[in-house]
Amino acid sequence: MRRWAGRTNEPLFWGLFGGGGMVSVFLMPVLIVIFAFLVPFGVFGGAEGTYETMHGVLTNWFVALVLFVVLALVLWHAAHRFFHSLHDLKIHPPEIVRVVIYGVALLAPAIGYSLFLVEAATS
Amino acid sequence: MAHSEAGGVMTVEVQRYRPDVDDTPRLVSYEVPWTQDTSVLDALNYIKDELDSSITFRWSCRMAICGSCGFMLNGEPKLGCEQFLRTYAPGPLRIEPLANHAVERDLVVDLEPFMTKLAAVEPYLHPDPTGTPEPGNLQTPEQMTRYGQFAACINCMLCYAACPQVGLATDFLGPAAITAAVRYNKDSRDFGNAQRLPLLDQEDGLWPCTFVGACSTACPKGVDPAAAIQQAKFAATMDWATEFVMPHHGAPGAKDGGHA
Amino acid sequence: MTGAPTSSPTGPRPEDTRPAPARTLDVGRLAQADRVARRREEGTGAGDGTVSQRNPYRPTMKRTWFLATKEYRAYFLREGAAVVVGLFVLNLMLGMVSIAAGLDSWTWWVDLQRNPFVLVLNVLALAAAVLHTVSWDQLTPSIIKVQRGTRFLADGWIIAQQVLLLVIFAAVMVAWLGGAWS
Repeated sequence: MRRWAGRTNEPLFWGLFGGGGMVSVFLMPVLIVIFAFLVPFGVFGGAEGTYETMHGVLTNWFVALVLFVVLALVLWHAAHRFFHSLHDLKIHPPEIVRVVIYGVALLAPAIGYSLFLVEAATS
Repeated sequence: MAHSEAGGVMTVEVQRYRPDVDDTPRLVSYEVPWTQDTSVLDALNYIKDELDSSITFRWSCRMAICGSCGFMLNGEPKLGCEQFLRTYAPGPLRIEPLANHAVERDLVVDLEPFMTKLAAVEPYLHPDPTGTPEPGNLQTPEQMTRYGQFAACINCMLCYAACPQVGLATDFLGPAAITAAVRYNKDSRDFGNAQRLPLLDQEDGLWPCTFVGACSTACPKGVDPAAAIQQAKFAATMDWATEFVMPHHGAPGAKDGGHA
Repeated sequence: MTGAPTSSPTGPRPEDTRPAPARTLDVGRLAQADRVARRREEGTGAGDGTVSQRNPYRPTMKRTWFLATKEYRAYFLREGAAVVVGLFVLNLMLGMVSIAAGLDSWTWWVDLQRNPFVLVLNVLALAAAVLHTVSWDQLTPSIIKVQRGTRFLADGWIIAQQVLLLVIFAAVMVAWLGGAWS
């Protein structure tokens, strides 16, 4: 990797941001309608019915990994826009705030997937 | 438009600033007679000729190609020659210097920062380092289409006045300069991508842009600088990824891909 | 042209015989900019007996700049919407862990979505997600340019492709949960 004055890792940050924004376009409206409204209000047979349908597929470690990675991208997208909004508001926090904001987008899926594996193994 | 609105006298408020006297700018009102074909630039010339000869502003061609007479008209960056008083009837119309620029006097802003940024992206053809071009350095219509839209820029700086990121970070390379870089990067006769990349892919290069899109709304020539910047971000990301995977790979930005 | 060989196929052109221009940036306008910058640094501008009376007024951006125009407001709403969608992603990850833990915890998560507070957040998340989809669809055609000869593919095709993905994904999810494969 060549270095020059002022070069940042922003291409990586922006690339992940763009990927998250792209999948979010067709993923999130559908997921929100289904899991925030249709499933809780019994359209697909309530908790029991959806559990029957989804449990076997979602507890596959690879399927879950793909899902967590995709959701991580969407979360990264949110973190990236939030961080840049701080700049828009003329707030220039110390570097640690940046680490925390993007850290949530990295750690939340990592912890989520770990918990998922533990629960899947013990249930 | 109703016939009664085809003319009259309009209150035109102009921001005045005298560097040797004033601490801050102030608005001064003038009563300007207008008809159907009175442009904002005509109004300013009327004020200078008839009301106050000390008013200072830049202009030249009167036909939206020299890019000299950019002002904020009621808070929006516009070319004075291209807008008509009838649009702002019954008034008042507020004329201020381009936003996000240091004001030298009245409506005249400091051009040097922009000129320095524009020159820095080397907006001219870099010849093929491996040999001479074909006689005439020919290009097909398809090759011209790739960059043609971005070549229409007249350097009027309206996009800099529209862009909030220019106002937030004055060192930001900015819409027109990046567009000029992309215009040459996409030119089949140019071989300067590698030289321009370090200027684009750096903190004050492409990355202050958050795709507000105001530059493209403001552009009087339909250039769409926002598109140029996002395409440059995409190309810079591809170059970064290529170098990350293959650190010893050849010069990035070679003329083989479909992007800048 | 710099470094042009003298034996080009068409023979040397008249302009090739001129001395090559210096390939440095320190010419003309940049040198002028340098002089101006140097004068500023040295404070040899206004008020020291030189001709220049320069004393530029430098306006600053207000912190509330994003309220100034409709375009800025739409931009800021779009950026803020991403954070609301991000909250729902955290919620969804919780749901993933719940379904792995068994029927009881999955039932708890599904019931949680009917909690009034969560419900309000979810309604906001849907609005934010739709705003994101619409605004992203509008912006994508300026990044993805598909050239066909001397024209570019119409923006509508790029947008249609994204809408199609959404419809396919929705259809697959509804079919799956509706029991099409069970």
